[in-house]
Amino acid sequence: MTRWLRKAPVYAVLVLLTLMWLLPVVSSFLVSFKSSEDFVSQTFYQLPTQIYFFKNLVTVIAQYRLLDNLGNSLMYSAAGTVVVIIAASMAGFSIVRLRPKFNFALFLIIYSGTLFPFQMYLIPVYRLFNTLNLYDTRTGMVLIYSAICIPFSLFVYRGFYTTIPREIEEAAKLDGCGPARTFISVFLPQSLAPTAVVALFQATWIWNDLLFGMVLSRAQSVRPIMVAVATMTGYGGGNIPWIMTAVIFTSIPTILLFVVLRKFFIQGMVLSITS
Amino acid sequence: MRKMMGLMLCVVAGALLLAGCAAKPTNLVLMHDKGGNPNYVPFFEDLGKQAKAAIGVGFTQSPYPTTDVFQAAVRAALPTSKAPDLFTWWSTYRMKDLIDNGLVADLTDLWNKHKAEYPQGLRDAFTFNGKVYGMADVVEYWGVWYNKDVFAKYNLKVPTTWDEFLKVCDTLKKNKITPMLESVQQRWPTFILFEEMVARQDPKLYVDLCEGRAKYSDPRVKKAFSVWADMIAKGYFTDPSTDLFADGPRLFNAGKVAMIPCGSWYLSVLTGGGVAIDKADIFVMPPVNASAGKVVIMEASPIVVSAKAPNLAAAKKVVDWWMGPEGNAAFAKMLNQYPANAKSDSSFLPASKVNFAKTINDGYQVLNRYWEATPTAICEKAVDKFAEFILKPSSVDTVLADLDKIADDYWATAKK
Amino acid sequence: MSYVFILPAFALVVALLVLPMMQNVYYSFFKWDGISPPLFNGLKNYLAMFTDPVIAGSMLNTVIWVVFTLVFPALGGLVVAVFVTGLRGENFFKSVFFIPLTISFVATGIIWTYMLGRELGVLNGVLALLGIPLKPSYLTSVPLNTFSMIFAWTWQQLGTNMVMFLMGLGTIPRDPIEACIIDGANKWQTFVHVKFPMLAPITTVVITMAMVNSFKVFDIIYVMTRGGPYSSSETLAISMFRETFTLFHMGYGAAISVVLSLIVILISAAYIRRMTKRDMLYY
Repeated sequence: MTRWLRKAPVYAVLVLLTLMWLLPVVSSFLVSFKSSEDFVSQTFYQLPTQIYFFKNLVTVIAQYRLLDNLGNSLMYSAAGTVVVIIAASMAGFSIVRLRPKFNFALFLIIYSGTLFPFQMYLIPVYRLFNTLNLYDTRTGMVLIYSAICIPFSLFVYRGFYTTIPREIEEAAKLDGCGPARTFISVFLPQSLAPTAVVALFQATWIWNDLLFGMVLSRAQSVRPIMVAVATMTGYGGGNIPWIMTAVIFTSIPTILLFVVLRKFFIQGMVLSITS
Repeated sequence: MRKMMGLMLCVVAGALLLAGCAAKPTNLVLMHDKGGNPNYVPFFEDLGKQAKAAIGVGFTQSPYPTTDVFQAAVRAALPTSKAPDLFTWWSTYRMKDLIDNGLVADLTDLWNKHKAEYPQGLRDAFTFNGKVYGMADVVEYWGVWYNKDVFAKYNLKVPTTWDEFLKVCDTLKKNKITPMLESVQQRWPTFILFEEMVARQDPKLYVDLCEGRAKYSDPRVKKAFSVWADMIAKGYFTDPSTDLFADGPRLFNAGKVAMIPCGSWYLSVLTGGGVAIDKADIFVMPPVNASAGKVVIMEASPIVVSAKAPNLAAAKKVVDWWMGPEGNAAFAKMLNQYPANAKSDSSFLPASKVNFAKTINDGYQVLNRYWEATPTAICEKAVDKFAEFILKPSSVDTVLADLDKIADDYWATAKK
Repeated sequence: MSYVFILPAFALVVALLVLPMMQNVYYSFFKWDGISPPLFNGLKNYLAMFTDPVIAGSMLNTVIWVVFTLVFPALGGLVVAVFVTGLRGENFFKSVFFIPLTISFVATGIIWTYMLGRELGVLNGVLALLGIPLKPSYLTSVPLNTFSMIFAWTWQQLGTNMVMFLMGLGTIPRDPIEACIIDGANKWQTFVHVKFPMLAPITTVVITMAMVNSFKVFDIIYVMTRGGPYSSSETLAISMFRETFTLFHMGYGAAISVVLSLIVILISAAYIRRMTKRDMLYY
């Protein structure tokens, strides 16, 4: 009983915080279930007179061609993540184990990509894409997303590979394995945890990106999903029930990804910090 | 793991293959920033199809989420081979620097072809150094939208003099209804009341101010600001954080705000937000100075063709159709707005807008909107200064001094 | 061979990030509107920043962001992590703070713009329900707007820091804690003397990341206030964007981003040095 009493204030604060954290989620859901008429005439806590979510969803999908953009973003998230996993794991292996000359400098050059604000390269990349004919192409989008995601991923792989004991590698060497074989048969099989982390973080990042999609693409067949969502808000705030419906609809993939890979998320944090 | 590696390579190969066959537009591209509110996305979609059906050339649209990125994207694309065939823009000063750099296609021949269908004044607004650039899709005027039910309830009549206008505000205020909406959200709406206040004081002063012949610290400008400040102090406006688009229709519908000064296109924002079409009507704000006379602010929004448009001939063909009575009416009808082409059918317009047009045609002097009438570099900074004044009316002197500095800086380099 | 392995990553990053950054530095010495030919401007763009009152305001706001993101999401994450551990319903509470993490900035901005609306917003609705006669304009009164956005940011970011600290707490061995309890220390003393020092490496990371991210904060401000009204909620990242995208001062915008980058590098210098040292120790 006394234990419970001692914990009471903690619970009170946590419950209050929980309410604060859930309020936006619940209110957004409520809005997405309303028609514009309900939204205009009701206060925020009132229940909609009829469930409008699916109607809103159908309208939004048809009008803003959300499915095109959804497909693009799925492709960017998948392809970008795969490119990143391959490039970053190889580079991590090289830096930690093959140790080329200036390996730390090379690492810092790549790592600097996460430190600089994107404003540093946004405009020049736009111009570069224009000259290379990459502007408004899916290839261009995959390339820029991969480039942006590599620094953090390299950081994760590098950290992880330093924890793999040297003995295993020595044994492989004695068996006559070259670096390629060692990488594929010794390092890759053990890389499930960092790979899941990189996949989770980078796929989510690519999915959620607005700015690069907005600046580097133009055609509906190239644009990522967040641009479509942002377009609905336009300069006028738009139709709020529609927008909330789109927000919820487009958040489902990342929420699912986090639910599925949650275990790895925690592990990933361990990796990126303790290493 | 090796299997996984193979799988991954397959995904990459597949993705790159997909990426390889990137969009090669067989259609024309129209870039615009009007995907929010008012929402033109379905209208452009429809018009593209109508054009295709009518003349065999259509267009697809590329909406941008925000005006700033849209402007930057257009400016960046114009000198390249990725220039949009068509794009929405603003008239006068907003077009000037694009034209100065030779980025906009000359459409004089099309304007000549349709000469009989357009008033000279509109043509002049699109003319630079004797050439006409861009086409007008719709022309809208700025007034005050009011809630007819609220006016009827308190027995209010549409004001024709400034005193009547103030009386209307006063009655509403006494009945705990906020007379007018005023907003600093989204930045640009701050110029709405600025231009109304100055133009109702003295239309010539407004034009001189926009074109650098008058100072913001001019006593007449100061007087306009003090009238405005007085109204703010009396509580005639909503809190400036009220959003013109998100909050406006709802407050209007609930009768919490009786009047919203905005463009005549705002009707579609109201109806889009759930307001019944016959609940709203519009009038021109009366002059503060009787000598200011009948003045109304105009907004002509052009569709522009890029000089480097990849399909220039096709783009001009679309413009030719769009400028004509049929295409012009088709678009205006979807928007519920005034077709720029005088020969277009406009029978679709709701009563409120028909009457409004009648009033304006009855001897009103037409002025350009501040957004286009003054150089962009001044306007973009000035709207922030107006916001500062709206939020802190006591700062009027520093605001006007800052405005003078902004304008002086611009005109000093522009006249070189 | 070692270079072959590093090449794909290196090539992508250098071609698409590093070289463009250098080009940006180059632009920062020009006066350029993006259309007409650039004019060499020397250091004028950099000097102009010192006399630009808007930049001074952005600097101040940036500092506010940095300080308060250390207080709310970072310290808050620690407090929640400490108190939630071992509590009944631990997983539920963790999940609650976790939800916003998965949501994009676009969504967060849209949701919080709705929450904070003066007339129709949920927060003011709740105040009215509770009978509190306050109706703040969260996004237009200065400096409340900056704090409102920091709150939205906290809503989104607290979870990350909580997870990091939770994980750190999980790795602390039991022995020193038990030893401390045997010595008669209470909970608070154990925390201060044993747990907190052992969290040091994680705390460093959390603080560095919080600071770097708050210097770079852009999306949420862009979606919620766009730095307004009258640039009152601008940070350096937003100023750069406004100069470049609405005023077409490409050179000046580039100069601001260079200065911002220098600050970020300076802040993370200590962290990088730690990394360098450890790297040397490793071999």
